[in-house]
Amino acid sequence: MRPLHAFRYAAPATFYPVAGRWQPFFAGLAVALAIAGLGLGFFVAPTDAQQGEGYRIIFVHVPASWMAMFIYCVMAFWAAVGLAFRVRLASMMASALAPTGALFALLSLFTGALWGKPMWGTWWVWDARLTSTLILFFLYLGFIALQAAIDDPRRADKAGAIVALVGVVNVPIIYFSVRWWNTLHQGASVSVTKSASMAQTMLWAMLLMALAFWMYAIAVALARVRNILLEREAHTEWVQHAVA
Amino acid sequence: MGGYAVHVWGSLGACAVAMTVEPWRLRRRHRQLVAALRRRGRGNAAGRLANAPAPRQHRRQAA
Amino acid sequence: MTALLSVQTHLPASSPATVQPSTAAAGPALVALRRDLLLAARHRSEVLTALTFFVVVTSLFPIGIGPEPELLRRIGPGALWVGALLATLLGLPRLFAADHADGTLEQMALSPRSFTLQIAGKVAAHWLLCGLPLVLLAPLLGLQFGLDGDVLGVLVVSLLLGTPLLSLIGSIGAALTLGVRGGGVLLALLVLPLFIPALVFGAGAVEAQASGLGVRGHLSVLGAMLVLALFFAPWATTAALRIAME
Repeated sequence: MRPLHAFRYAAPATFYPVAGRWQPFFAGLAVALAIAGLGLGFFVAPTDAQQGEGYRIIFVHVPASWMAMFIYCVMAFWAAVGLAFRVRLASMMASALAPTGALFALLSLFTGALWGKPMWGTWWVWDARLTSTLILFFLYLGFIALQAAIDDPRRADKAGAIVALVGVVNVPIIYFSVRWWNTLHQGASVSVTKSASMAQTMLWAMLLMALAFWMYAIAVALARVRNILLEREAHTEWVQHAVA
Repeated sequence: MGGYAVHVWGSLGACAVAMTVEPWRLRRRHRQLVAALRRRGRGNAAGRLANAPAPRQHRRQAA
Repeated sequence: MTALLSVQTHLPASSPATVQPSTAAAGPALVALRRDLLLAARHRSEVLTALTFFVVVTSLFPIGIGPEPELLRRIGPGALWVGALLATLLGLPRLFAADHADGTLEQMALSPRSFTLQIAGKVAAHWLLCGLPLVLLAPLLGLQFGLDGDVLGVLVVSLLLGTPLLSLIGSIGAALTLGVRGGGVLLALLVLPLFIPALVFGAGAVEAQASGLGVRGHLSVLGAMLVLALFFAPWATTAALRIAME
């Protein structure tokens, strides 16, 4: 019975209303978790011994980095499913996730830069994580640009899937290359992400914010995939029923 | 914030702005699509020429 | 119109220049390789373009950064490697475009011979025409940056391992962007991030030699990446080509 259930939701007509119902739930969860995480991070977590108050940027910087990476993997997963099993909805989901993932990568870079200025005096530090995130951002842009440039939706789905899969295989390779490159050039001492042992509350706040971002990403992806469905299935009957 | 106010609030602000604008744009796009589809559904040919971009068969990122 | 022009510039299948299908496993690859080399021989200027580009780009670095010898010795490996990257990138759009335009690519896909092997042959030809010349010219340009003999040697080895790797990875991008709007720039966006590990270890090897550290590690990783690419890239490229030709 289980597999039948899953494939039922793969039908656009079934998925569209279901996604619509779940979306506010995830959005609400995101807000609640964010309030909890920020509250913990800004009012409970202590001042850092070395970095003073400015360290609190990590409560958005680190979750954004994690999500940028995580979303890419999820995106690649759905793209693979769409390619291998020819499930259009899976490919649409991958396309729906990409802009959000790119946004998180960009936020990670931006907050990383803001963190670097007071801590190390420069707006940009070529440490392993920031550089890898920059490259991840390029990978996202490549995926989005390729899909935007191909008119035929099915070809765009499949081409994008190849990009995502090649990308996901390369992400660990890129990460280790950059780590290696970084240690060669003695950048380790100015790592944005290196931190002494963290207080429990700091860790919890970071986790809560990461979960909040995750819920946000799901909510936004559901909204976007609904839009994609409306666009690509505009000619079908169920769409007419759905929007009436 | 120990002198780092700009950086901390700047970071939080950027995230807040991004995570408000993105859902807002998606909702706006949704409204446009629904409106265009309804117009089309009513067989109103003029609706296709209306300002809201009609859903096209070819690839478009619903940003 | 394009078809007419293509007939003039591309060999018909029955031309005596093509090799009879051999029973060897690598047959299709060698056939495709020979064909591409023969075609390139008729347009030698294309090979020279990549080479000239390499020279021009690497000259830009001293001009943009400054000609102090110590500085040049520091940036030399990186600048030469970046130049090689960009020169390879330049030759990629032409990998499949012509064959796609006149239908040869479809013929290759439909033929009973292994499509993947034929594509591997094409990529090999691309390397021989775009990559190998860079490897041979690099020592000369390395002198412009004041690099020593042993460093130049490592440079050649690193490029020898690296340029095939770049051709293999690049072929995936070329296949994905076949006939797509804004192809060239899109190709660069897709492929340059994937080139970065090769750049890190390739340039890293040369720098290691220059600073007296061991190059074994870098070159081993580069070699490992090449082997991985040899196995997986033609497969991904073929899949991408099939998608492009649907």
